[in-house]
Amino acid sequence: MHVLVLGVVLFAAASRWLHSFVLTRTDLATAGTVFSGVFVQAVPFLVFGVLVSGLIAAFVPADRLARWLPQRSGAAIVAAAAGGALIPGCECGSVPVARRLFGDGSTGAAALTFMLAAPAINPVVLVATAVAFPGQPQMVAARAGASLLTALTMGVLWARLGRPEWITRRLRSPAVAHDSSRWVLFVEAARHDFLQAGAYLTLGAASAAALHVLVPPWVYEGLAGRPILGILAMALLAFALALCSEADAFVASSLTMVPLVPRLVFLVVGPVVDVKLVAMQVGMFGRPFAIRFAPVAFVVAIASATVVGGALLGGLR
Amino acid sequence: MNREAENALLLLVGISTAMVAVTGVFTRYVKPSLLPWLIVSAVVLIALALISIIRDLRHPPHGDHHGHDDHSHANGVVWALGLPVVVLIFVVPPALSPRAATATVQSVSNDVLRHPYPPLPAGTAPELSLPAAVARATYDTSGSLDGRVVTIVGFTYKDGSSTDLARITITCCAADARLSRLQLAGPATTGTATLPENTWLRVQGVVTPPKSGEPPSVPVMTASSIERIGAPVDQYAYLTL
Repeated sequence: MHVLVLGVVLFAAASRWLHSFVLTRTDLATAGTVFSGVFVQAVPFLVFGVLVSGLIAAFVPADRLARWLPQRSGAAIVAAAAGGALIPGCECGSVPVARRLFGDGSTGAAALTFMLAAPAINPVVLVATAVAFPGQPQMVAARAGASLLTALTMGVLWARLGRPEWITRRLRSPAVAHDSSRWVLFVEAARHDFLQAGAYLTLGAASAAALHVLVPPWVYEGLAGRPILGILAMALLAFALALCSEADAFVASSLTMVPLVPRLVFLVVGPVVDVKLVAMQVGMFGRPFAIRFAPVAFVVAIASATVVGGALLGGLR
Repeated sequence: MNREAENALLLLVGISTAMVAVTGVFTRYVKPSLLPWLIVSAVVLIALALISIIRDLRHPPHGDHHGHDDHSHANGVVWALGLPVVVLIFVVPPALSPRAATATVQSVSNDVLRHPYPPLPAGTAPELSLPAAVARATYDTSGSLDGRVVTIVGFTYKDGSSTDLARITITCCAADARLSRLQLAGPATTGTATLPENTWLRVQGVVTPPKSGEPPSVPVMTASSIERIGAPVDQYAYLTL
């Protein structure tokens, strides 16, 4: 606490100097603006996410959730994907929600499917994609199909291969067990999830800002025009930029020297795995989970987008 | 980090969100329509912090098994939330500079995207946003810009020897910023070469499609009148759904 107070006083004293120093350094100013953009944009979605996650903690005990879901894990995964597709969420909000749904692991595959489906194929994102690619409804269909395929595949993979012991980050057992009114449980869960996910969101936003400034765009552009390298370059770009899933379609539509399939890869990879999401998954699920989940999700998303894109968008051109 | 400091940091994050919302600084980072959601978020965060602080004062959490030893290694990272507080309250980064937006900008030239646009508003020299004019010049098959004088606001942007009229467009936040440009031409532009970069102008003229050829191709605006103006409140143009 003393450190915090001291820090605030110091920064307040240095504020004018900090401000003018940042103004004189263009790349620092850009990084600061991009960081603020990613963070401020994510805050409302994260707040909405932790409120939902607090409600789940207070009102939906894990055993009841397991009872609601279909018994067979395959059906549960499909139900979770459908639920995710209907709810207009953003990736920042769906990570804490998925962690709560995950609970002690009995509904793990369904929770992860929900986490991947919710930001990628909800109505808002699909409308944004349709607007960004006017006259190309097959782009919307390809995005929805490839993202759904990714979410379902990851759910099935988790059901087959996932290990509960990879989840090292426990949900805090509320510090209020004896007077556990629903309200206190709700506030405690929302508070804990915001601090945890918000801290990792900060790290992710800072990484995105750094990559934005440090990696020159020609690196991606030079690679993007070639068939196989292009797919990889666009996937890495999606990872590095950490865009909101409602905005990425507009960025993709502006990358016109790139063929459509790599641009679809960009749209499918972004909501599934990017630098800020990996940071948040480390925070909510733990490092052993994230270092396995993120690379597999990255590969599955690229493969899904390439296959679906190849079928719907007319090959790699 | 102990619970007391966590609550204080949560409160500070709420306050910094409220500050960027109330002062209007947030328009440098995200689109204006996010304002109500930022205010709601700030209220929720401040409320969560205050409720926790008050509850801890009434029922001090120390002294029994409520300890957070099982969580101590995880809590260090919560300090990261100090970064947005410092950046948003004390550093306050400026709006994106055009040169920074160039990085993510591509000029558009996809024939598949061509389709007829709705007609322009009636009247002489209707106002049109710069990205909308670029989109029409590039994609419109109905010829709605042909021979029409329109009014466009933007800032000067030097590209080699020529001076362009430019505007930064954002969809969600500053991370997805793109630069839209129109090449200025015509007798009214004689003075523009001497203007410093980033001078805001209101230009009337006719926009013609880019010369077909290799991208990047920038549409041309043949200006009939140019007026210097101050920087508008909303520095960015926004793509609306």
